[in-house]
Amino acid sequence: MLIKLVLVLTLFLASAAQAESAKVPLQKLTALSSIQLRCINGSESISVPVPERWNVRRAILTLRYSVSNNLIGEISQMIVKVNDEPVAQTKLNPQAPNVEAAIDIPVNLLKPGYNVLSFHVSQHYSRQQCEPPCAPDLWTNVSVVDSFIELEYDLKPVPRRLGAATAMIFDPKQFPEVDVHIVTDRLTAEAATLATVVASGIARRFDYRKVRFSVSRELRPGVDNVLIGSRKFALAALAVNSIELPQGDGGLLKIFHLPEKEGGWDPLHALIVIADERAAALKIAAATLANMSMPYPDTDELHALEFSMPDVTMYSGRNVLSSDKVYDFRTLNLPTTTFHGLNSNSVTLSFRLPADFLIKQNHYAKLSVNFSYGAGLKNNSALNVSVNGKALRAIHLDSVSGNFIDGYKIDIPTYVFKPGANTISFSPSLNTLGGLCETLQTDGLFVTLYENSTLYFPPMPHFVEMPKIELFALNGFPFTRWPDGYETIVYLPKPDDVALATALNVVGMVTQRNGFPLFGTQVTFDEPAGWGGEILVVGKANDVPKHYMEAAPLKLSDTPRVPYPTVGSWNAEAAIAYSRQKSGLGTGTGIIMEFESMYKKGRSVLVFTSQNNEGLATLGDAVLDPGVQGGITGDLVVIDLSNPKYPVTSLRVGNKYSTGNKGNISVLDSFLYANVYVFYGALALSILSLGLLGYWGLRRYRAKRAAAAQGK
Amino acid sequence: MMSRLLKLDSGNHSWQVPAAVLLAGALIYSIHFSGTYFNFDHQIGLGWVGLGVIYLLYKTGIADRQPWRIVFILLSGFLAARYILWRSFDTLAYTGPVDFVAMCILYAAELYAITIHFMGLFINAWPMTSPTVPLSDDPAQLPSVDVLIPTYNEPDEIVLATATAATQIDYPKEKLHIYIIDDGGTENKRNHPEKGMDAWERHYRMKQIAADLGIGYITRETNRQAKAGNINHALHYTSSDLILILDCDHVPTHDFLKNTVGHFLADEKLFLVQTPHFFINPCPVEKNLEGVANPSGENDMFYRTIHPAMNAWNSSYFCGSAAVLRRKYLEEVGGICGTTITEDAETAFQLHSRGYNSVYVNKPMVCGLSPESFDDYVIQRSRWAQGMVQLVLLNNPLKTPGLSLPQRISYFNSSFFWFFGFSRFIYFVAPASFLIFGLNIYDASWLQILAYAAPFVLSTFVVMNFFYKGTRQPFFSEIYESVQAMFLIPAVISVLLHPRKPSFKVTPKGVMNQNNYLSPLSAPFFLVILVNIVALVLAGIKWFDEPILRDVIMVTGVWCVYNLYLALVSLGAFWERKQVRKFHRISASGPVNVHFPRMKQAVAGEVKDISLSGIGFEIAPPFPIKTQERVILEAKDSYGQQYHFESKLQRIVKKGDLYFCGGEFMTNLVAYPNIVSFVFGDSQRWRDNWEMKSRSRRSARMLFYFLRMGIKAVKDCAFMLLKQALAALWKMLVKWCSTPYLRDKLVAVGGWFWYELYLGFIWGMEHIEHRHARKFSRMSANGTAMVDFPLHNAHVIGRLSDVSLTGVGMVMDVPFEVHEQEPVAIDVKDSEGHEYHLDCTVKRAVERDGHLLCGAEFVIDMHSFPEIVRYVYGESLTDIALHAVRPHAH
Repeated sequence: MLIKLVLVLTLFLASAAQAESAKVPLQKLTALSSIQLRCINGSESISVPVPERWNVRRAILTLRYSVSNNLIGEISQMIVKVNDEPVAQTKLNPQAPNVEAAIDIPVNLLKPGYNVLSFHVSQHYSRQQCEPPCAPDLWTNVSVVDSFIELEYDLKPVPRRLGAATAMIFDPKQFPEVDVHIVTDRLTAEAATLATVVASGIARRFDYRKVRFSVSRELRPGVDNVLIGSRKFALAALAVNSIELPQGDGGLLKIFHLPEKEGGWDPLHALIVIADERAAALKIAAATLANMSMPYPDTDELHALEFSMPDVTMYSGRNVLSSDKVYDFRTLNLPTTTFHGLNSNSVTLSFRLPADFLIKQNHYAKLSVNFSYGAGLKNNSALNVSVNGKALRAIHLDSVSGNFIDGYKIDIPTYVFKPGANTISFSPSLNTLGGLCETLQTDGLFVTLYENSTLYFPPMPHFVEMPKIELFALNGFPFTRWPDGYETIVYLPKPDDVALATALNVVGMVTQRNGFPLFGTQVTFDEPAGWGGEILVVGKANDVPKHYMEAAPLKLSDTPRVPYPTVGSWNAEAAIAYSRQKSGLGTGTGIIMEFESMYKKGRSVLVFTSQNNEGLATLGDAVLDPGVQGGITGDLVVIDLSNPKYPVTSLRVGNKYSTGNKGNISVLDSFLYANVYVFYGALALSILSLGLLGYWGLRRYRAKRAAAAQGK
Repeated sequence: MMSRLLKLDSGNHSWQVPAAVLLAGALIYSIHFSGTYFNFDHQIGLGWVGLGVIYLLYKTGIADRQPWRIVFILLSGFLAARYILWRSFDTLAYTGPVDFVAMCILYAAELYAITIHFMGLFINAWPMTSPTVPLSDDPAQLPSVDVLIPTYNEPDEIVLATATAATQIDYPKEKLHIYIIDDGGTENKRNHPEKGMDAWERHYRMKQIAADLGIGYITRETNRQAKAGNINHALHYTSSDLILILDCDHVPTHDFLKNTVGHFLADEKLFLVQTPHFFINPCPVEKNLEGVANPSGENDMFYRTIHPAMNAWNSSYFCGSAAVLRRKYLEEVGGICGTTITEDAETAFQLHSRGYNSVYVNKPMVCGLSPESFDDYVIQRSRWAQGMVQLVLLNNPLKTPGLSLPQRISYFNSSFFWFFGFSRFIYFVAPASFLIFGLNIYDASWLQILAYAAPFVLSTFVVMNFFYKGTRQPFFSEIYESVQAMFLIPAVISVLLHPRKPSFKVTPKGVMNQNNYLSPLSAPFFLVILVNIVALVLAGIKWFDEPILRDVIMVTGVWCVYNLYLALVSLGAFWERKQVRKFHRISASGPVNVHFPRMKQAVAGEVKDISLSGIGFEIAPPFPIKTQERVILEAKDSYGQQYHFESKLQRIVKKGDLYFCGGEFMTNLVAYPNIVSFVFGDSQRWRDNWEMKSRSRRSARMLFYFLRMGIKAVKDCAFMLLKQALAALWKMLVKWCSTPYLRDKLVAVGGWFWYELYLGFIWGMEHIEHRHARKFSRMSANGTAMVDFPLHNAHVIGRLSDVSLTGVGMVMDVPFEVHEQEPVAIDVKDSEGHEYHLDCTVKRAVERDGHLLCGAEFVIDMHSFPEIVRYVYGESLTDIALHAVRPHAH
């Protein structure tokens, strides 16, 4: 008996020791900056992802919230629900306004997928019946920064079925971050290009989830591996377990459990093999893997014979709104929504505008809203519309008997929009006709916003002043002008695994921002002299060619000329001091620089560099950090890699140039744009010259006419 | 191609045309570039710097010299092209069917205006005045000339003056043949059963005038084709080489033929020499300014600046009178054309298209009469508008072969111009259509207006002032156009619908008017004013109501203010001034010797004004003079010709030593030709008069005067309407009050009105109190209360300070801390000794002067409420209070 008990205990401890854990602040799970629960019955919810691959053992929600001092603790309470099941309730005690509470969430409530974690309050500041339902005193605030959810889980074995396994392995619900190792048989530009295709496709499958790539010639234990290379190389990697690869036409795609060094398999991680002797077949197989977004095939292998992507148009991408086109709300992921009660939440229409939109000032986006509302609304009720957080219009709900409004038109000046992500929010502010001390009937308080409402954005030119690394952070511009990265080349001056891994991380980040895999991007190890497109350079500072560095805003030579911003001017360019010095980059600094391509006007070069491999690898990790992405701007970005928070310093110091007009801007346009006073001069000159020419012509004409009139 | 169109094909200019095309392309590219890539700062800079340069070129007089004039024009064209491109590609947006239609209408009006602007820039590039070609001294080498004076129904004295002056034209008599060609005494008219007698009488009078002057008289059977038919009929009975056509109110000067005939000898292909029309009387708008200023005449702009500009392009056209035509070429096109009702322009158009030339001599050599009243003015302008629109519709200058490109543009501009009524009307109502009906007609922000529209609009004012300075006061074109706009629209529409229908209407001349009054034609302007005032009021409301539209509201508001100003100023111009003179006076100068037979002395003086009936002069005689005194005047004209007139002093005004005298000519058959010769024969006089008007300033004063008159008109009309409305109301009241029943009703309605007013006042006061004060007023209270603090298990005696229906205020001393929201119970007595136990909540606890001031709120429910009311209001008031308050409580 005792032995049995010891065995069970040992097994339990062993399994407990193998369990992994993830701790995520709620901030990472919601776009809200805080959860404000207002009125007598406020509620808010967030989604908690649980990956298919996880077998959750334990879930603890640590909640930190503040309550209004004016609440009456005895009759105010908060309920926490998971998927609509209450898991905790607590009194909102004003005597203890700041509370930290740990809530054990029953794991059986957590299903693979997105779980709704909701907070509901019933709060009062008066015991009387005559309590205003939305008095300012009625609030509870849940901090999303200090509250977090902690999950303990085991990994489930990876099924050896390609369709199911890829959905499980490249599951964006895994958090907080994921590692994928790519194994290539050799370090050539072709192999690196294939790795880029694979990494880009995988990154897209992970949606916005941070995914970190590493590259080597060997399998890496403890993470999922993707092997790309010849059949011979693949066989060598699997040799320890004596596996044969099947023959067949097309590139082979096969899934295994991850072989262990000593032989045997790690069933919790996968090895996906993409093998063929032909580069083209490999690429087809890689692209197939990267796009396998449904559980098919149910086999562990396939031979990829052909693969084609849908036709892409310039400037398209994830949630990118095409101009001059009418979208209904359903298309924009906003289905018909009903707002109920006094304090209903808002809904948001999220979309992106191309990063290089030249937003004109006098145009209007057209919003046509179809909605209905209930009877008995007080005449101060309204449906508020805001754009990018700025209140724009309150639609007056002024009919006591309710109404159905079809095609309520709102003209939104385009200058309230910005390139990149934009939002249009609808939040009702409903009030009932009843008096303060009357029994309030709130069931009639509703507004329904219909999905056939429409949004139209007028046409805008694609033209932008460069360099702007913030556009790169926004959606990978200008490398995503063609969403598949066509016309983009990745240049690794001195190729090694670290530089390639950094490049893959950058490519992955771009893919995630734009939502389309960069299948059209090439990798080169030779200088792309004469290249007519965009160039992404990744390498150590000493490896980047000198003339690249000379063109860059920070010339990293032996005696670099370093820009230092001075204070006191709104004109950023004029407020830069320069120091020529003999100094070094150091090991803890990463640099990102953007400047005009020396090969073609209007095209850009973006350089990612650091002093050594370690720095380069850290830089690759840093660019995946949303905080870093939000902070980079201008044409020179310096990232402190020694600080885990990666503080960023951004400057705008280099020469300006412009790009746009569907990717082709004439040399003359570009020159005049950068030298506006030359334009003024040329304009004056052309008017003067034309005037002189006109004068000359007219004088001759008049002389002739006068001679005729005088009979000469 | 370009040179062929321009007919610039003399000499070799192989590189100039490509260079011009290249430079024009550079300008177009510049507009495109700035429109595509510039931000607002740059756009505003470009627009306003351009405007600044234009203004400087104008103000410093640099633009008066070539080649700067062309640079000035190009720069103005640049601003205009920049505006219209921006307007076309950036501001037109579909926002709904009604908006779209309104937007298109406004856009069309702007396109029209800018087309006219561009054509004006082109035509005015370099005006040209043809110098006089001297005549040979040998009369045998001179061509013969027929002078044709068409007449219809004008007064005899007008025809007599013109015919008399024609006989005095300095030209060999054997080569000069003068005819009165009378359409007022045609056979058809004479045979008319009712008006035949008048026609016979006129026929005889005209024949008599002709016989007295020794000139010809021609009439015809019918009045077919009006003036054109009359002249063509006369052409059959005459045979001279050249034909001088003079309207019967256009009195020629002696040197008319001397200054014009030489051109025909010099240029064999010349078909026309046109001279300006000088008008002795002011047009109705000018007449309103008498005593305020002496602006240039309305026609001055056309004859002194536009016509020389057209002359440069060989596009000077026949204006119906004061012109010499070559018979040979005229007969080639069948005489004066009669397809349109502007036969003159049409004839010139036909001859130009056959490759013949015209010349404009910019020297006034006829003196005529312009319409006296707005009615006549509108009749004349409607005829011109209809005729010129007919020219576009029936002949299309842009497509007619034989014309050079500048000629096409000139004719098209002259014809197309007459559509201005539509655009002016649209501009009047466009801002109101947004402010009143909410139509989106102009999709632009105020910054864009600042960057594109404002520099362009202001540049057009600068350009207008530059082109027409000396002949048109600033903003007067706006007034003239506005005044005519409303009346031209129906006239033009009727031509558009029926291009061949309009008939020739003779412009009445020499009409008199006994009173000052506001022309009834001004009525539409009251509507314009009303609409714009309403729009402005709504703009004020919308400014606060729709802050997101403030850009548009500001732009349309400013536009409305301008419209309002323009409408008021135009209304001010609509006054009809009294006109009782039979013969108009005109300013004159020069020495005059005045002989006083009574004193047998002559005094030297200075001529001030003259007319066919008399002369005004200034003298300083050493003896007193008196009215009705007979004097002999001795004066010279600019040619040195001496004149003697017998005159009677009708008016004498003494200023210091100077006498201003008005003398009436003692007219008789012998003296009359002399008087006509002196008054009308000297062309230098008309030129001096032009120059004097050119120097006239005071534009602001004139505009202010018009504004004042406009406001007066609105005020007068508003008072008149109010007066009429009050009179009607009074009449109705008197009628009602005449029966006792209605009087009672009236009293009842009055009482009801006052009662409602009182209720409204009470409601308002309550509303204000409720908003700004407590719901229930507090009353001071005395006595004590026993306060039970259940949380502290303590009883404290408090002193009552105030009481209301919501709670009580107390002062007390407590040894523990009292919190807000803490439950308490109080035991109190009212003045009648009734005891009450009331549950409360502490709402306010403040320590002051060592005591606790405590505000406790009653806990109100169904049971406690009557108790509370009873306690607060006492027994006697409870029923009333409960009745009043209960609905709130429940």
